[in-house]
Amino acid sequence: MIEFRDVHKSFGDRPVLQGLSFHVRKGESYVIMGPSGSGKSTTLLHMVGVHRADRGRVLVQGIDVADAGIEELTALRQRIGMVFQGGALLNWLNVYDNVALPLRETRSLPEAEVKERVEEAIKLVWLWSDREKLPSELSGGMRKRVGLARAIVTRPEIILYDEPTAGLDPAMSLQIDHLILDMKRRLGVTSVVVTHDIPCATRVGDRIGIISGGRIDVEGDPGILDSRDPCVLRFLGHGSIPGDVR
Amino acid sequence: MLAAVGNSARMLYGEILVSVRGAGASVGLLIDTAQRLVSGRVRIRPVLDQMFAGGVLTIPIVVLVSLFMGMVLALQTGLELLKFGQQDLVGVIVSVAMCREIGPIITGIILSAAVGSAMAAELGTMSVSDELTALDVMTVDKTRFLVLPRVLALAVMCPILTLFADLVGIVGAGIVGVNRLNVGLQLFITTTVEALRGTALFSLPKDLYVGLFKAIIFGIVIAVVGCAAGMRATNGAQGVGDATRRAVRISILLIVVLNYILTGLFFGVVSR
Repeated sequence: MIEFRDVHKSFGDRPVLQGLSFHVRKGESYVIMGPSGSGKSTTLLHMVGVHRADRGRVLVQGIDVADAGIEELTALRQRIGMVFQGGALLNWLNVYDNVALPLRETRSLPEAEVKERVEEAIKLVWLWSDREKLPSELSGGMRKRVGLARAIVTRPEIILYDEPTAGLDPAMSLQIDHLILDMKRRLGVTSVVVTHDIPCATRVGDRIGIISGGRIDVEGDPGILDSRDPCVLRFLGHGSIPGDVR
Repeated sequence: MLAAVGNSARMLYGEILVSVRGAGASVGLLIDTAQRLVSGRVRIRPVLDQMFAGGVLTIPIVVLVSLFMGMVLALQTGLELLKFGQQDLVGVIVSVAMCREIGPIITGIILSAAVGSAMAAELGTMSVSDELTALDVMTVDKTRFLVLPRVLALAVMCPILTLFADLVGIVGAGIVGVNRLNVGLQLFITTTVEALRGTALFSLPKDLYVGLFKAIIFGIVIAVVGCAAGMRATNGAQGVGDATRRAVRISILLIVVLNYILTGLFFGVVSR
């Protein structure tokens, strides 16, 4: 479904991805973890062709994103939904219009069908009563849920989540995790979740890959986070504090 | 001392490079926008929203600045004309100057500062908060969705505001002419109308329609430069600030240069 083969990417003289390789199976939830600045979000943006690899191949549904032309990339992007860290909602549109945006701007659907699909998506994230509100009137968690509704309204085959629980309290994080699982169960989508929230990763992930030094250092089921693997321990910060304050 | 000069020169070179790149990006965006205009539907509602935000809300400042520009122009020229007893010509000079040059230039500069900067800040904020990336991922055409309405709005509102500026500037000159230079009101009106009548096209004075044509071009330039600068913003709040400054700088520079070129085109060069 999604495959990274020895992908390298630098911004200026700063290498971010250095031989990144992994694959995500159809219908799977793959979680990418790693410290800040390790290239997690950059990896997601490679999947939708916002960034192009300097070297290596990024295959999504058999299409080599790095070499895809505009039309091929557009067709691919229309099969992918992405939930951004801050929601990335347009602040002059209310919740309803934000969710309707990709349908109105990129699909020639009759307004009745747009309404039906938008209503379904907003109800899935429990925000129907807030559909008239502007993004500035919403909490961080609500904005992420609107972002999720906007990502699923086009009925994508793949959903990419960039830090879906960052900055949220535990109760709201739990709600978002349940929504991610709900989307997978109801819609059968393939999910790639970028996070450094361990509870989120263990709840939503079928497999977890930890990025370090621009490549997947260790990969496995959520149980790897309990392992004594030095890469996992390094990511979790064990032994990084002098005198071990814990 | 030498090091300071060297640093300043390096900074100036960097600024010039950034401005040239910004102008290049603006040209690319202008071509994209023109293609969208001829190749598909235009939604009226966003254009009207932008006309209101970018044009209607700017009327008070355009009116105030133009009024005082007209008054000061009348005062300065009138005082000189007074020495030769030719103060009756103040209406002629001010009306021609306002319609040909000052109206469009003043409107263009005000719109650059008030509206072009706002466009750069708005799109810059969208750029640094992933909203533009989100539009890309959703395959929403950013040029059609964000840029085209803004360009059309300013292409319509800039000449309308210029017309306001011309009229109010002439009224300001009239106030000074009548009250400070003792020009009769009727004489002021007659000489002004006569001066503008000149070579008319479809009953529209050349001085006026050339000024309005310039304003259309300025409106397009301001919107395109503002959008291009905003869409290229990176690096958080500082990047948005840089984009805003760059938009104002480049659009004012382009307005001044284009104004000279358009004046040369329409009024020709004076032969020896």
